Amino acid sequence: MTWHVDGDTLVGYLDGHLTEALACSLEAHLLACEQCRADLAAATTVRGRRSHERSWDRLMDQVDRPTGNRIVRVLEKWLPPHLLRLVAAAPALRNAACAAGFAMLAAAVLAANFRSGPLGTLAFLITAPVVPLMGVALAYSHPDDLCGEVAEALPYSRFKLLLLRTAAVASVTLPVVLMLSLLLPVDLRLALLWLAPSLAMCALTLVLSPFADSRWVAAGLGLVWLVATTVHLPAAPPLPSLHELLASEFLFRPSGQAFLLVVALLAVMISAVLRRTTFETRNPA
Amino acid sequence: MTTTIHVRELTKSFRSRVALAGVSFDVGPGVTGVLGPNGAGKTTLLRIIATALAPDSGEVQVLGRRPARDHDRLAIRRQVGYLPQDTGLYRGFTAYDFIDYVAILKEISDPTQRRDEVRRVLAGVGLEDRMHSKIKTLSGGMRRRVELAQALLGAPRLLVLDEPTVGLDPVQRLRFRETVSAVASHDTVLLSTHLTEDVAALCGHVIVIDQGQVLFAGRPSELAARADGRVWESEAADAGATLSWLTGEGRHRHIGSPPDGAALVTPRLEDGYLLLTASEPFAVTS
Repeated sequence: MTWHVDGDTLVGYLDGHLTEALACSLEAHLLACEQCRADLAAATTVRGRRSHERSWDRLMDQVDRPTGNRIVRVLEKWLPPHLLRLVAAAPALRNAACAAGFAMLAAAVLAANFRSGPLGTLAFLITAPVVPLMGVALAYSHPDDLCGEVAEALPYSRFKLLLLRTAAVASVTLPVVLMLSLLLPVDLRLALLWLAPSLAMCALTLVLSPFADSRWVAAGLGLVWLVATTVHLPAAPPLPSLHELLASEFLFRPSGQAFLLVVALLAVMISAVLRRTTFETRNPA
Repeated sequence: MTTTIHVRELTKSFRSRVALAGVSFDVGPGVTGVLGPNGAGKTTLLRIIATALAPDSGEVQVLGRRPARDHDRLAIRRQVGYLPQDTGLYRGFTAYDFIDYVAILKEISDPTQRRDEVRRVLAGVGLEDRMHSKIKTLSGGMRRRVELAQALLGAPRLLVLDEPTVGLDPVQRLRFRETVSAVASHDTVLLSTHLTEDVAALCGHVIVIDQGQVLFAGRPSELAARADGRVWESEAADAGATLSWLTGEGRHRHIGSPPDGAALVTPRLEDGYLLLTASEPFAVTS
């Protein structure tokens, strides 16, 4: 015997990819060639082992899959498993908290659509920024919530983890609030006035999280927002139009919106600058 | 001796309370116990060594690196397993989920490697049968083993364990000792405890700390030897003893300056420890 079957052809044979004529020729050769029979046996073993390992990995992945609620299962479609695990640990993904916020907004939308006057839309624009903020605050739960003190001594970037959780909460809450805002009986520009304050307050909560309990920070920011946006409202009817109401509040005017976006940007930039000294150790040396 | 931990003149205060007041010692491979009463400063010391807390002043080197430097701190964290007193377990997670979560934070990103590692450490603490049980359904001892398992991830060169045997029953404590002994055969384990039997059973070296100061650093036998000639037993209580208690055999055991003719006994580790930490004479009668 002066020639032997190459590895690719053997694998093609095992996978059933060879033509019938080539397969017959190969089988005739195998009957007479001990070395090629040994090569085929080895290829079968390796291939079988790989196939077995792949099956085992798939099974184990299924067994060891992160447990979690419906939101975690939705995120499973987009996030790689290790990021999903980090996100799944966030207490923010509690259905009840989010559902309560969405219910509040849905009520505001209904009020805006079925009740005359600007109050329903205004109520939506005032309450909408608080919903993602509430989710972000719950994502941290308390300053040590990233796995207690263990996380303080782990190499994974604390800042990265906080950012990931914020993004996860935002990705769940923002689209829902966005869809609800499209149901408002006003043009899109007005319906999206909640977005800038929401981003600003979430970013401020992120940057302040190493210094204070995020829940208190979020509660404080939410309270300031609610007071600032309602203090100018007239105490008794007749109510002015929605445009007049919004124009009376700085934070709803274009300059106020730009200010809030700058605040959000600055907060993220400061967080990025301070990430090593402030986020990675609670008490820097 | 190869030095794993090097500490010099370490101080740490929380407002007006001084937790550490100029602590100095060296720790090498094997098991070292940090022994001291509650509030002695043990947890603060271990948190600093595990890089979870920064000191006010003093010098710390862990595995030849200084935690005060950013890149050194990161390198230390990659090689240290830390078991704090309160881990903050996610009770809704399964044991597997939790350890997997910590493994990700320990930068074990390859899924297959992570899965094998998670299963290895859970098997190491005897929880292979309960790895998919929710943490809230596990007993206190099992939860402590889950916490210990996370510290073992990635085969760390240094294990820092804060009160690791609290909440464990005698059998679990024995299993814990087996696990720690296996690690300590080639690496360094620093554990804090207020139980002298843990030190006697496990540690080749002991540091006694009280009120933020190191009172003793050496071998357990040397600590016991501190009480040579200062432990005696009698039928009746002795008001002149620094410390006195009634044993299970119905005799009074005393530590302090023995009177003439006292029946001296061989001191144990706890006698040396009690003699060192009991600053005021007091008696335990039950």
